[in-house]
Amino acid sequence: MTTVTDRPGYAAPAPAPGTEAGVLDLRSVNAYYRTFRAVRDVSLSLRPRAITALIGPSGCGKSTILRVINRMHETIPGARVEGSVVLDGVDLYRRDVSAVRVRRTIGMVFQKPNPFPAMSIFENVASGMRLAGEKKSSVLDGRVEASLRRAALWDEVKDKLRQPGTSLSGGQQQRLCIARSIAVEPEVILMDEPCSALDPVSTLRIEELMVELRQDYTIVIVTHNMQQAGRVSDVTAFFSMGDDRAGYLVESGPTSRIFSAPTEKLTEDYVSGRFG
Amino acid sequence: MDDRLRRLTRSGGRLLSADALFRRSTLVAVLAAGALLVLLFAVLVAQSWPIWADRGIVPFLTTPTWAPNYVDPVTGATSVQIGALPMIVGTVLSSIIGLVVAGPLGVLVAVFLVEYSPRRLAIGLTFLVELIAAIPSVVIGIWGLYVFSIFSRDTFQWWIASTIGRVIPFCAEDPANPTRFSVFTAGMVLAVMIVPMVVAVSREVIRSVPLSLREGHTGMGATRWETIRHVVLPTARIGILGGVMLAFGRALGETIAVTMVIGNVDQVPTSVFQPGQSIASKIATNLGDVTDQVELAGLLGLGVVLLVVSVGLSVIVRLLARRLGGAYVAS
Ligand SMILES: Nc1ncnc2c1ncn2[C@@H]1O[C@H](COP(=O)(O)OP(=O)(O)O)[C@@H](O)[C@H]1O
Ligand SMILES: [Mg+2]
Repeated sequence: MTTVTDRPGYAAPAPAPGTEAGVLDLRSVNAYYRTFRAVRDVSLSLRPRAITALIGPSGCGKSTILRVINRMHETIPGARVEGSVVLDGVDLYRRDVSAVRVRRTIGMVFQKPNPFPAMSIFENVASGMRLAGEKKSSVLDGRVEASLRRAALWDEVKDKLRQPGTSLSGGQQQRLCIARSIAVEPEVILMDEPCSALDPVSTLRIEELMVELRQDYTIVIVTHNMQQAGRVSDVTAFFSMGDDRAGYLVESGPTSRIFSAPTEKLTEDYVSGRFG
Repeated sequence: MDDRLRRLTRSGGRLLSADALFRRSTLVAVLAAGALLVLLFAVLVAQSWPIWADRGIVPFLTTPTWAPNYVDPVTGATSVQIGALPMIVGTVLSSIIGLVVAGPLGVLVAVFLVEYSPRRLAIGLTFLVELIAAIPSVVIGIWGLYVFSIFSRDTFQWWIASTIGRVIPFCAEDPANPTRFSVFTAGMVLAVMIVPMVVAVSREVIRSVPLSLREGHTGMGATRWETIRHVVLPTARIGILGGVMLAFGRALGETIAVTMVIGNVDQVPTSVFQPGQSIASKIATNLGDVTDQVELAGLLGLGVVLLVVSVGLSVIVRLLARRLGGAYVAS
């Protein structure tokens, strides 16, 4: 498992006895694009071995929150974050924590499948391990196969590992991207509308895969699809936008409760499709 | 085709639509350009026919001397020795030097412009590069002759020749020729001339690599440079290669600046630090006052060689672009 600090010999503190790794805490997170505040004061706890769905109207900052979690937000010029994101007791925004390491511990799957066109299927999956310095081909071979199996793609690609990743269908490409992100053994996987570019059958397969991966990871998905949130997530967090267009957390809780008995009127309107 | 169908598909069969008119006129223009090229080629071949017919393609391309009235130093017998080899070698060597210098340099500058440079600096640098492209070749030739060649001779030329030059072919210095005129200087002049082209093409191609690919890699824990090396450049490589090859084509045909610095000696250089001759400079300097019919045919034969190589090169670039995915290839 990778640690998130650059300090030699420093390892992320082991989770306290009885707790699991992969506990993620957002504490008073504000995210800005230059002077525009896109996310206002979000505090949210994410459970390991569970799928948390972030839902809410378009533009309410769901993608931004996801990118704050693995420190991708700061790659945009002028973007900054206030507050803290704590993974297993380590504040990911602490001075001595390296963003590069954070991204190895917290993987990301994007809206549009983005396999690297100049790399083969094998190299796509191996790319993260190579970045982490893995050179032994026996290790690479083993982990590539394991990751592809895990992503339910192995049987479809095992005979064409040398072909470009872009030769696959959209759904296969997205599963390749999932394989690529789990190959580096992260603790958390973030998925930003991973099915919005896919057909219903591929969507279903990805959903099955998410449920299957839940056993080992803390999973956060952004979705526009209420049915999808209902089908796969354990916890749902509903976001909305204030008058200043800053996104904020309206409420969060077990998915069944959010969908059947939300405490907020706003949430009820949204999940029942009266607002969107 | 059924008449009814024809009426439906072709503006009722009466007038040409604006679209069709435009399509036809562009087609005519393309055909005219193609015809011109074929005609040019045919005229060149016809005019240089004696060279191909009497001397043969292979002897013409491989004879290392250019002497219409060659006197054998041993026997004293005279003969016609007209060979393109000195010019071919001079052209290829100087262009390769230009490419070896301008290719990596241009790609690095493009990477810096797109990936690292602050906006202001990028605008300034881009302007500078465009400025270099605007310098007339004669002026670059003057720079080569009066600035670069002297600097090179007095500083690193000797160092290159006596160290790495011993292992790299054509790089050892010939002590008998301490001249400023050399294939090397020609190559450096070419490098200056083609670097803007390499930068311009590479910059566009690198810029067109989608953000989603970069983020996919950065999101896995790659540093900026790792993403450039493992994703951006490999994704852009076909386009960059195309740009570099087009620049190479430009270098092959460049005339005036090369003529000014290469030395115009019709010999096959054994070292790039020797004077030599290029195809274009040979034609340009000799065509005006040639009297010998065979020599004239030889000069036009050189033109055929240059034309074939240049056109061949751009055809290869097009094919490359088409075969290996046009998405990231500059048009
Ligand atoms: N790169 C950016 N630069 C400036 N503003 C941005 C950028 N990306 C997103 N935003 C703004 O931040 C807000 C939240 O966007 P986003 O997180 O993408 O919302 P969602 O994913 O919920 O649709 C929107 O108002 C959007 O316009
Ligand atoms: Mg979004």
